[in-house]
Amino acid sequence: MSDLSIIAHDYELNAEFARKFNEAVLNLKRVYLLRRAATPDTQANVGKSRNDLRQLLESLISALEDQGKTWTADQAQVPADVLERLHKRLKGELPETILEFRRVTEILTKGAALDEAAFAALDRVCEAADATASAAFRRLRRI
Amino acid sequence: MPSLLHSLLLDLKRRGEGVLRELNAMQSLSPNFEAHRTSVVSRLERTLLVVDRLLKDPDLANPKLEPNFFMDFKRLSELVLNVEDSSLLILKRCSQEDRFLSALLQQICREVGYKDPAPLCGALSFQYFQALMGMDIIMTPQTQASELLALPDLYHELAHFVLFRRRSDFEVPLLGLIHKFFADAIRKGKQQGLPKASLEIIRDNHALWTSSWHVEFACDMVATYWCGPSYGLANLRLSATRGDPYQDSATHPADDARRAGIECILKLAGDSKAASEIDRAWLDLKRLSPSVQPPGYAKRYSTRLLEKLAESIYTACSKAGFKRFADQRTQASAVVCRTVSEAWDAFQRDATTFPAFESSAIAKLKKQLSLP
Repeated sequence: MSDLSIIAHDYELNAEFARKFNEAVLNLKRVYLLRRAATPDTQANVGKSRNDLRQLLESLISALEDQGKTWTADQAQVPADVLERLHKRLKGELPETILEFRRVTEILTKGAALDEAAFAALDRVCEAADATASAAFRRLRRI
Repeated sequence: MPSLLHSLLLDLKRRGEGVLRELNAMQSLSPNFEAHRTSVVSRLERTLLVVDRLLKDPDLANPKLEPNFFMDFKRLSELVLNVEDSSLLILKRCSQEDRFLSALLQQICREVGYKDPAPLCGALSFQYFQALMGMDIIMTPQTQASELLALPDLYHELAHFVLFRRRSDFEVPLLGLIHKFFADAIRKGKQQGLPKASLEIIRDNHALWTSSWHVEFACDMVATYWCGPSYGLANLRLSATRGDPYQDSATHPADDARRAGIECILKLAGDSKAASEIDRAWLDLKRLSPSVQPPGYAKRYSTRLLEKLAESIYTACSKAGFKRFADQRTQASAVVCRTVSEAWDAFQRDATTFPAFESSAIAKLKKQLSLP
């Protein structure tokens, strides 16, 4: 009823997206950037992280490309605030960034190793999602 | 020298342990408060385990991972602050009013068929009603325990939990309808050769509907499904205190548009008579107000779109097994639903004698909920 209920709704969606995306990126950075050997336990984590990231990236690409195309429920995976922030941040370089996201998605689908450039692209999403969650939290606490 | 992030995590651990100590020191809470305390303690313990794991992580200071660990830190810190600000606050106070409102909300959950554990309720808000979905808490105005006419708003706050937790059944279909509606409007506008400025207005309206308005409309609609005409009357009462019924904001659609959404659900529930009566009361309110519909208002709040949203919400409520107002009213056990409805009847009949009715009805409710 008050603004706070809506802000709380936004915060939960944004924080969950940020947490999930960042967790998957962290797990994969350990394996592909730091070359930490995967144990049977962490192997399952790596598989899940690759899958989570692929799904989230596909939704993100679909949402970022939504210019007059039919909206699909899949796009709802990406909170509107995160999308808005990414649009603002990527202004002017959106087509190239989408191409890079596509390349990362293909790597994830094929099961191949992620390179530095792939992590740079993924970190841009992490940063936008983190900034969005933090902004919603500040609105929630009015700080 | 330890990294800044290491020190911040140690500080977070200390703060979290402090909150945990306070939570663990609480004794003799009523059952629903104790259930909330137990759940928060377990969540906080899990959070502190994650903090410990991060502190021991050999890669914590690695420059390639450090920014990502810092993001993790922020989410964990936010959780600890949320626990301190909401759960700890309500649990420490646990006043007679909070206990009554929490028992009332628990009863509402039973009556409407809300199957998750009932959120805890505290009369601690300084900003009308608030739903804190992540913390399972609803805050109400401080005098809410002694008044009935605003109680329908508690149903609205409960609906926020439904929208959030059953997002794919409730919110996502609405987003689909809204996106299609505005995509069609843009396409038609282009075909008709509308100027750029007009297309921009359609795009702005689209953004407002998909950012927050759809959630507010949906919560009104779920609340009306549960609470019936009383919700429409409570909306009118609230609007009367807020001024211009055509004024909207980035987070909330205009009160008059919300009325239209509420009436859509009443009609779907077969209560057109109540919808017309509320409409008449609104005409009376508008007669008192100098406000006029701003230009473009009818296009901004399309009746056709509201009707589609109402159909979607009505179907989702039905599929979720929620009980309509009409179904609850016939059940002897639905004491809150009946009391709220009777309160609005009594108020409309005679506002002068209403305070006496209200006091007696609240005393009866407390007795029915086995509260002192």
